[in-house]
Order: sequence, then C-alpha cells, then structure tokens
Amino acid sequence: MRLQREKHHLRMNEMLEHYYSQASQLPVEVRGQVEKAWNGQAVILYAYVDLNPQFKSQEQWLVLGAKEIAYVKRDGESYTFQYIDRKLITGVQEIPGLSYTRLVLLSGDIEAPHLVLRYSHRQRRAVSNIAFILDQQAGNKSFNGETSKKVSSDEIYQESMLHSIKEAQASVAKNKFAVVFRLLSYLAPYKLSVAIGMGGALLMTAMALLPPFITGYLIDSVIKPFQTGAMSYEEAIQISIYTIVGLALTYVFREFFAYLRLSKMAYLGEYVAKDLRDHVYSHLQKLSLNYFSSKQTGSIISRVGSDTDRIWDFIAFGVVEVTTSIIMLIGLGSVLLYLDWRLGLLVVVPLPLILYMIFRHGEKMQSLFLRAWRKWSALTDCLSDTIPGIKVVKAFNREEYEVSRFEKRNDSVLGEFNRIHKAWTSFWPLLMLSIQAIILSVWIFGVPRVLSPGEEVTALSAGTFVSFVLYLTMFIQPIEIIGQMARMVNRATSSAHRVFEVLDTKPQIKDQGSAVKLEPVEGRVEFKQVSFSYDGVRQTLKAVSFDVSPGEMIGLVGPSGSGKTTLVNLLARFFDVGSGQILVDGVDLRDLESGHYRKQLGMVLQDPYLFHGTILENIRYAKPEASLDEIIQAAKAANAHDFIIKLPQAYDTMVGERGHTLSGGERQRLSIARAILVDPRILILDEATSAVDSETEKKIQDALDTLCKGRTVFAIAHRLSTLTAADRLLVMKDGRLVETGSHEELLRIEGGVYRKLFETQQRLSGSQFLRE
Amino acid sequence: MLGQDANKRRVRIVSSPENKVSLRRSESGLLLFKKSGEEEISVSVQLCFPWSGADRFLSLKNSDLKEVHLVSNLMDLDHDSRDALLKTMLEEQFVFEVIDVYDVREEFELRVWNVKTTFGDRDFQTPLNSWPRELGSGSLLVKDVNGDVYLIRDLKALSKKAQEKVWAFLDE
Repeated sequence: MRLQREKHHLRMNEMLEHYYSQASQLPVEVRGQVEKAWNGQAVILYAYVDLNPQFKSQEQWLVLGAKEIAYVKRDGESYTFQYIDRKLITGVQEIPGLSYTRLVLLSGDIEAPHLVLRYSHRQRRAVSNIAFILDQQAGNKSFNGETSKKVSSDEIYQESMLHSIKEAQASVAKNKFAVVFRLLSYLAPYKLSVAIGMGGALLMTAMALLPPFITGYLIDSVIKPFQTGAMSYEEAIQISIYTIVGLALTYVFREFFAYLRLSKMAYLGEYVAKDLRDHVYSHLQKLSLNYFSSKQTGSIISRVGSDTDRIWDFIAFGVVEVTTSIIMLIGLGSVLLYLDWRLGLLVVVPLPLILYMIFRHGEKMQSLFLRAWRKWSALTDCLSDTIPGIKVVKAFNREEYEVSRFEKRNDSVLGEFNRIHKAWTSFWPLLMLSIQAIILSVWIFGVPRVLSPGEEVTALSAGTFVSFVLYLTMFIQPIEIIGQMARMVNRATSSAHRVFEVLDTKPQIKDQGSAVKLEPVEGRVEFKQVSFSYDGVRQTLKAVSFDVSPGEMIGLVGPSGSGKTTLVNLLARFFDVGSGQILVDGVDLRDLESGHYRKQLGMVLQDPYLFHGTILENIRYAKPEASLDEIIQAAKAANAHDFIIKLPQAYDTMVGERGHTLSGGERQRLSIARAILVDPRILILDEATSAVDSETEKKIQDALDTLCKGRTVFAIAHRLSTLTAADRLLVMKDGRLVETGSHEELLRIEGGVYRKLFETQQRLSGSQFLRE
Repeated sequence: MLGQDANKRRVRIVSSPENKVSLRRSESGLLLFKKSGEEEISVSVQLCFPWSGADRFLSLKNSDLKEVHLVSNLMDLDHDSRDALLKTMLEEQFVFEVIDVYDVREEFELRVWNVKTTFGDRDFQTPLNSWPRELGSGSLLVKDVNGDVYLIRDLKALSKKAQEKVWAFLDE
C-alpha cells in the first residue's frame, strides 16, 4: 500500500515537472521554516502563486496551517515569510479575470486587506482549496480546516494542479516504448503463436531474398557457360530444371510462410484485443462512481471499442510489418554490399536521405491533416448545431444563412483535402523518381563493368548485375512501411495508454478479506459523526449523526447541494466515509461484503434507467431467476401491469435505449417493479416522483406506498408534500443535519429551515394555482 | 413582477452622465466603487466584450460577483474614476501574450504548446479537439485546459518558424 502511494506520488511529481515545469511540492526549505514558526504544527494545504503585482513571474507560496497562513515570496536566492492569523481574516474574495484570478484576504478595512494575490488559472484549484477553508472559517461556520487524514498536503496540491490535465488526457504521459512493451506483454499467453507468426514473417523475408540470387546464379552458372560452350546442353537443361524447381519452391514456401504469419498474427491480434476488452470491461465494473463522473461516457466507450481495435491492428500487422521491413532493409543492404560493394554503396549511401525525405513528408502531411481535421470539425459542428436546432433555424428564417455557412465550410474542407492530395501525389512520384535515379546510376556504373573483360578487377558478371537490379526493386516497400512507422506506433501507444489508464485505476471501494454477510439485513441504520468530501477539501457532509430503526421511513429534505444525495450514496456504499462510521444492523458498512449488501438494497432514482431489451428483461434485471408470476406480481404492485398489457407485445415489448419508447412515468413504474422484485430491506428513493405530472405522480406514489411497507426507507423529495407519510424528516443544510422531527414538529420551529422551505413551496404552489 | 425587474435592469445599464458613481484604486490595487448615498465597496471589472469591444460595456461586480453598475462608455465617468478603471481594466485583460512558438506537438490526447510569452517561457496544453480561435486582424487566441488564455497578437510578427508551427490552425 505504502509502496503504491510512493509510486503514485513519484508519478505525480514527474507529471508536474513534465507539463508545467513547476515545483512538484512545497520546497523543503520553506516547509521547514514554516513548520518551525508554527512550533512543529504541520502544513495542512499549500498552493503555488505565480504572478506578482506587476504580472511578472515570481515564485510565491500560500501555506495554510491550523492557526495561521503563511505567505512566502522568493526574492533572489532567499525567501521572505509573512504570517497572518486565520482568525483575523474576515472574508475571502476570489475574482476571476481573463487569464488570472485575484485572491483577496479581507481584514475588515476595505483599504487594507491582509493580502492580495494574483495567479494564473493553472493555480486556481490549489489556491481555491485554501480560500474555501478560510472562507468557511470567516463565515463562522464551525469548520476546523482539517483535510481528510488519508490525503497529504502534497497529494492535494498535486491532484489540484493536474486535475485539468488528467481530465483531458487519459493518464500520465509515459515513455512510448514502455507502453509498447507493456502491450507486447499481452502476447505472453500466446508464445507459440507469436513464435510461429514471427518465425513465418522472418522466413518469408528470407525467402523473398532468394529469387534474385537464384536468377543471378542461373545466368552466371548456367546460361553464360552454355553460351560460351563451357557447359553442354543437357547439363545446362538439367541444372536449369533444378534451379527453376528451386525457384518455384521458394515461391511456394514464401507464400506458406506468409500464410503462417498472416493467419497467426491476425488471430493473435483478435485474441489480445478480446483479452483487453474483457479485462477493461470487467475492471470498469469494479471502479467507483467518481471515475465515471470524471470521464466522458464516449471516452470510456471508445477505450473498450475503437482503442482495442487499433491495438489489434498494431499487433496483427504493425509489429510484424515494421520488424520485417527493418530486417528486409538490413538484409537487402547486406546482400547488395556482399554482391558488389561498389554498387552496394551507390544504393546504401542515399538510403538515409530517402528515409529523411519520407520523415519530412510525414511531418508535412501531419500538419495538412491537422488543418483538414480542424476544417472538418467546423463542418460537422455546423451539422450538430443546426440539425438538432432546426426548429430555431426555421423560426428565425435563417435557412439561407445556414446553407451559405455550410457551403463556405464545405468549400474550406474541399480546399484542405485538395491540398493533401496535391502534397502526396507530387511527393511519391518524386520519391520514386529518386529511387529510380539510384537504379539508373546502378545501370550507368554497372553496365560498363559487365561489358569489361572478365580479367579486370572491376568486372561484374551479368548474373550478379541482374540479381542486383532485382534486389533494388524490393527496396521500395520496406521504405514506405518504415515511413509510416512513427504514425503507427503513435496511434497504437495512444490507444494502449488509454486502455491501461482504465486498468491502472484502483477501485476505491474494496471489500476486506474478512467481509461479513448480514443474513438477513434487518434495516437498522446508524450514522455516527459521518463526514465526507469528494475532493479531500470541501466537506459535503459534516459530522452527520442519526439512528434509524428497521422499517422506519425517513424523508430527507433540504436545499440543493445540502448533502442529501451524498448521504444516500454513502449508504449505498458508492463511496466510503471520510471520517465517522455508518453502521447497518450494528456492523460498519466497510466490514460488509458490498455485493451481498447491495442485493438487499433497492434504489429508485429520479431518472430511471432502462436497458435496451424487453420489459421482461428490464424488470428481471435485478433478479434474473425471478419467475413470470413474480414479474407480474411486481409489475402489478408497481402500477405498471395495466400499461404493459396495453402494449401489443406486452411484457415482450422491446424498449429502446434508455427506455425512450416509454413515458417518464412508465419508466419510473418499471424501475419500481424492478425494486419490488428484489424485496430490499433498505430502500432509497431519490426524487422518484419529481419528473412526472400530478396524475402520474399519484400512480407512482401508490406504487411507492406498496414498496415502502415493512422496509427502512430513505426518501429524498423536492416536493415536501410527497413526504407526508414519512415517520421522520431529516433536514440537511450545508452538509449538516440541522433539524429532525415529524412534519408538524418541524413546522413549529420558528425560523427553521424546514418551515422556510415549506412556506416557500406553499407560496409557489399558491401563485401557480392563481396563474392557472 | 417580471416587467418591473426588466425596467430596473434597463435603468441600470444606462450609466449616469452626472457622475453619480465614482471609482478609485486603493493602495493594494483594489478598485473601490461608490454610488451616492451608498457605502463604498470593492468591485471587480468584467469586460462584456473582451475581444469585440473591450473599451465599452464594463460590468462592475461586487464580492458576490453580482453586477452593481454597468459602464457603457468610459467617457461617462469623471477623469479620476476613468483613470482608476482603465488601470484595473488593463489588469483584468491580462493574458499570456505569445511572442514566439517553439513547438506544438501531440502527446496522448493533448496538444502541448511550448511558447515564449511576455511572462517568460511556458508550456501549456489544449485538448486535441479544441482549436485556437482567430480574432481577425491577425490575432490568434488559444485557451488551455486550465482556462488560461494565450494571445498571439500579430501572427505576422512571429518568426517564420513560429508561423509554420501555427499555420495548421489558421483559416487562410
């Protein structure tokens, strides 16, 4: 565990230095000085401040301690320190500008704030953590400024700094070769196939080198001796037949090895891609909710889909093609130098220049493709703007404008693609011409030597010369492949990186080895001083404590952002508490086996999620072994049966993706049926009736009443009137439990939060009634 | 109710020619705003049109970032107030001005820019599918993953090599 944290810490250091060239943590000298001034009390948080009042670069640090904050400024080789008592800060202002933010620590005197700091947006998150704590303190909110004990100030600083990078990027930028090697490690279970595939590729390359050599041999050792009378006709025919058979065999073997290579590597690529897909998908299921909330859905889907596909392409073809091309090029160069070193040098010496030309062309094409991609994006933006917004276009009579906007962008796309075509269509013939010039130079220097008397040192046999020319034609393909190598490796490592990022993310919720199963769960829930923070700094729940008896219905109310949903998320163990304890039937939630516990927990959410499939499959999702009779009973209890049997295919009706073929109320009733089927001991209703009309709400409410009987229920509702059946209401505000009691008891609290909420809703519903 | 709100807003956006408001800068560089009969408060300036008309329509906001006054024209203010506001505006408009582009490369879903700014050498990153914005009059604006803004004020003033680096992002 410690080793893992250290590795993570090192990786963060490396990333910070790589991307921002900024100190990866508070300098040891500064930390030492500050903690000494605070009598050994530890630094809680710190942030880097990069702009001075003149908007020039200057190293400054803002350091938060338990009682004071320190402002540290680097002047030349030394640091200056200013300490401010936290109690003297009367307020905090964060004022965002175009590309910087100003932080003002107020003193009560408008003319003389304690501190005014300026920093680029890059530093904002880290500074904002400190500002938040100071603001909480200034607002007399009893917040001690402690951060989660599990996270150090260094980790919070680094996570804050790298948050945007990690959100935009898959993960840490690692060495490309390390990524390729890791990718290749997936070949380990298929060693035999790899050996056969690679062996096939190498033998295929070797076979490809034989025909020119055999041709040369035939000319020099058979045709020429026969023409000069040094060999008889019969002997020449016999050797020719053997040679041609040999040639035929090399072709057959070459294609056989090609088959071995292609089939083994293509299958192998598929197996590796499948293994990766399985691995990534099963790992995704284990990851905590905050991983999914920090990534775009499309990005996660593409990692399982298109990224693994690219990896297949790389393993199936890329690895082998690049390897064989390099070997082929080295082989060809060696053979040519062996056959005739003078002519060989003619070919080998310009080779680096040709490879450089291809590299430069690749760079140019990359720039051209980038432009074309940008223009293409502008064109598709135009489509994604206007097609969903066609009503607006028509309402404002802007069809002509939109057509002309599209045409302009389309012309622009055409221009870019034509530019690309111009570039490659002129480059490749030019490159071929250069290669042909080399071939021509071989002819120019080679022919006189072939024609020269055999006793001369520089004389060249016709056979060697023909072999030479044949080998030359084989140069082009590997050069082309090597030219594309950089792009191929880039694409594959980028995909592999995205896939490994998923695999390297550790699930935050882990069952302990000795996890217990509660059979059955009775439904007693205790929150003991529960605090929770999503980012380690901002406390979403602050020391919340309450007890709930089995079968009790609890209504959770409070303004938006008060912590209601966080509370039920903790109860469902989507996250673990930061501090404190949640006990279910007297056992800490973290000691329970999470899978078994969740089976006894039901959730009905505001936006019910249905999967692509039939109504039957969707209800049965929670309990695959449920009988048809149980399904119908659950649907009836959820007030869903009547609308289901009105559909022509009843329970076998396919509901589209997310159930879009059904109304919101119908979807909700199916989700209630699903929850009823599980027969949960603890039920969570999160705004279950908020997205429907009054009539549907009545039906859903009836269904919920059935569902709630005999269970411990936590219901969050925006409309307070829907919580009248609750035994007790818990009122949340700013992450704290501020009031508890029945509806009547809470209404009696003069100036109470619940009473205010209730009165506001009464007024709103009254004015709505008047408008209607 | 709605109508009244809209009227209030309409009254507020017409800045007073009779100098009913005054602005000054504190020693610490804060902009202080005073409206006759009200307490002096610290305000920040939000340019309503930072790129299409930076010297007009300046929103003055209080500590809760709510608008307390809209200056539609600097000339509506007295000399001292205008001076104070101009100084603050210059600060508010701070962006990283790029004077040379050493390299633009792709690195795992990020485009990494290595540039020289008036602030010093700096690396910044943009997502691959986020494109710089041409502002007309030969300027280019790039916003990085953190929201920091980088401005190439005059593309033609860049070195030839730097121009080649940003060529892919231009419309011409």
